[in-house]
Amino acid sequence: MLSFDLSNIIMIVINLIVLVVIMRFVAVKPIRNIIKKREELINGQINDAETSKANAAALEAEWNNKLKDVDEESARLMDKAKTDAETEYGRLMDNARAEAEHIVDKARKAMDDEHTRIMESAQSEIAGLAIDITKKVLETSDLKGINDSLYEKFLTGDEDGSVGN
Amino acid sequence: MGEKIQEELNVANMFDIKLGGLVIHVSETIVVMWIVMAVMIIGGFLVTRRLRVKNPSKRQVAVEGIYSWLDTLFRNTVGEKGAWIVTYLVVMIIFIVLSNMIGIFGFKAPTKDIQLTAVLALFSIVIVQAAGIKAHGVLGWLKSFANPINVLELFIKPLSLCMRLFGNILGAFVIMKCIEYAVPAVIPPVVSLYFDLFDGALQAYVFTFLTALYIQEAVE
Repeated sequence: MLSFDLSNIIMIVINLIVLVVIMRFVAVKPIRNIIKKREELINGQINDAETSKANAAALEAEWNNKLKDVDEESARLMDKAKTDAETEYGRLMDNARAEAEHIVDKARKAMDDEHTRIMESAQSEIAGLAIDITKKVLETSDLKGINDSLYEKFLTGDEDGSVGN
Repeated sequence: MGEKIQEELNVANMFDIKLGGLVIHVSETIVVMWIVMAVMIIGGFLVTRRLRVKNPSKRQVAVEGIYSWLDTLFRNTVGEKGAWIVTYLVVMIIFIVLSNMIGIFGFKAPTKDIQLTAVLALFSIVIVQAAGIKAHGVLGWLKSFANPINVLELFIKPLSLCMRLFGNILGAFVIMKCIEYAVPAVIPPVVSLYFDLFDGALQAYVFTFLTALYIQEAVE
C-alpha cells in the first residue's frame, strides 16, 4: 500500500505521458478543431450579419437622403412650376389684353373707315341721284315756259322767284 | 475483517516484464491504469468520430459541452500564460475521475496506490515550475526561491496533493469495505454512489483545480 517500486513508478510515468499524448491527438485536438471551426463559422456569420446590417443602415440613410432630396426637389419643382405658371399667366394675360386692345382699335379704325367710306359713298350717291333727278326734271319739264317765266320774273322784278303765278 | 481489508489494500504484482537484465514489475495498479487508458483512448476515438461543424449530433453536443466546460474552467484559472497546460489538466481530471470510479466495476482504484498519486503530484509540481520558468524566465523563477516559504512549498504542495487524493480514496475504500462487511445488502450500493461517484469526482476536481491554482500563482 505504501511501498514504492521504481519500475512501477517509471511505468506509471510512461503511462501518463503516453495517455496525455494520445488523448491530445485522439480526442482533444479534434474537439478543439471542430469548436474552432464552428466559432469561425459563427463569427463569419456574425460578421456577415454585421456587414449586412451596416449596408442596410447605409442604404436606409442613403434612401432617407434621397427621399429628403426628392422632397426638396419636389418642393423646388412645385415652387418653380408655380412661379413659371404665374409668370406665364401674367404674360399670356398681358398678351391677351394687348391683343384685345389691338383688335378693338383695329375694329374701331375699320368701323371709322367704313363709316367714312359709307358717308363718302352716300354723298357720291346722293350727288348722282341729285344730278339724275335734275336731269330728269329738266328732261321732262317745259323749259321754254320756265325760261320765259324766269325772264319775265326777272324783267318784272318779282323777286320771290315764283314762276307762272 | 482487518486482514481482509489489509489484503485488499495491498497492491499485487500481476506479472513481470524482462528486458534483458532489467525486470519490470507490472502491478495491479498499472494493469488497471491500462484499462482506464484503453477506455479513455477508445472512448475518445469513438466520440470524436464524424464530428460536424453544422448540425452536430446529441453525442457531439454533449462531448463538446463537457470539453468546453473543463477547458473554460482551467483556462480561466491558469490564465493565458498557462493556457498551454490546459490539455494536460483536462486529460488528468478525466483520468482521475475514471480511476476513482472504476471500483464500481470491481477493479481496485489505481488512485488507492500511493505510487500513482505521488507520480501525479510530481507531474503537477514539475508542470507548475515549468509554467513559472516559461512565464518569468530561469532567473525570475530562481529569484522566487529567495523567500524560504517558496522552497518549502516546492515540497509541501506535491506532498499535500499526493496525500489528499491517496488519503481520500483509501479512506473511502476502507469505509466501503467496512460497510460491505457489516451490512452486505442494500446499503453498500447507496453509499458507493457517494464514495465512488461523488467523492471520486470531487477529489479529481480538487486535485486538478489545485494544480491549476498553483500554475496561476507561478505564472503571475
